[in-house]
Amino acid sequence: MLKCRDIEAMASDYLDKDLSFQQRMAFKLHLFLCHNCRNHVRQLKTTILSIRQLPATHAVIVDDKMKALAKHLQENASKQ
Amino acid sequence: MTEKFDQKDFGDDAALIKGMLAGDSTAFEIAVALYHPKMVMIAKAIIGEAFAEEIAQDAWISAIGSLADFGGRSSLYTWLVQITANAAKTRLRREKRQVSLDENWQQLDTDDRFNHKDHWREQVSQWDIDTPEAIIANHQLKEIIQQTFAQLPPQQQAVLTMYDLEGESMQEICNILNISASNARVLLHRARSAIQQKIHQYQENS
Repeated sequence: MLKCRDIEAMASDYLDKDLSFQQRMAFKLHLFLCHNCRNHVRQLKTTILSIRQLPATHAVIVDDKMKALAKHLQENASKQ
Repeated sequence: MTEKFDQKDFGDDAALIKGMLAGDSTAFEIAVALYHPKMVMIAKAIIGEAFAEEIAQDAWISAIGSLADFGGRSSLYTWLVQITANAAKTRLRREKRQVSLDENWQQLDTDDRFNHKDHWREQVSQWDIDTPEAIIANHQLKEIIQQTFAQLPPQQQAVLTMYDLEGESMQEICNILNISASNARVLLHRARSAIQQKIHQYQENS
């Protein structure tokens, strides 16, 4: 029988569908019986989906360091 | 001076490559802004902090040297990451340095969220803000996610970025970083879990 600690460790594999059939059944049985783990897995799922939404809202920043590197690369390319 | 762009303003890889081949300075700036931080991140994950910036810069020079021959078989991002990863691995062999394993490697053994029976010590509540859309729309939570991400150990950051943000396969990630599949999966889970715990703390305290 899986313990809550096992559920925590296996939660990403469960959500990524990377568990064997047997592991998956054992995982689901524990979730059925344990509301703490149900909430935990739900939180992790929400976390993953939130992380995956980040790039769409993330601005790309060009600072002085990046500009200097871009200039260096451009000069280097023009010499080739 | 710092400029902010939105990724969608940049057009596609082909336009960027054409710009760089024509020597357009804006194209170089855009390419560096888009890909350099990711290349440094990959180099850090393979060889550590000290050589990462230098390796990423060398990778750019080598990539730009063969840009005209880049057939577009993969995305520009994938190609740059591969060049960076290869350069980092070559350097690692040369330096004969052992990259220290993720410093939080022992985290699970000392995880105090569980009691001696391996049950949760405290009740795990449902979050009040419990959809991804609501979390990202919350300015403080979005900030917390970004800060936690930035503080992750390099290997965790690289695996999380490639798997959850770039949608790379686990096999590709293992090839790039030269790590086993089980190691990659542990790193991915640690990274996600660190962010989950920070979101949880915020929700419990507000």
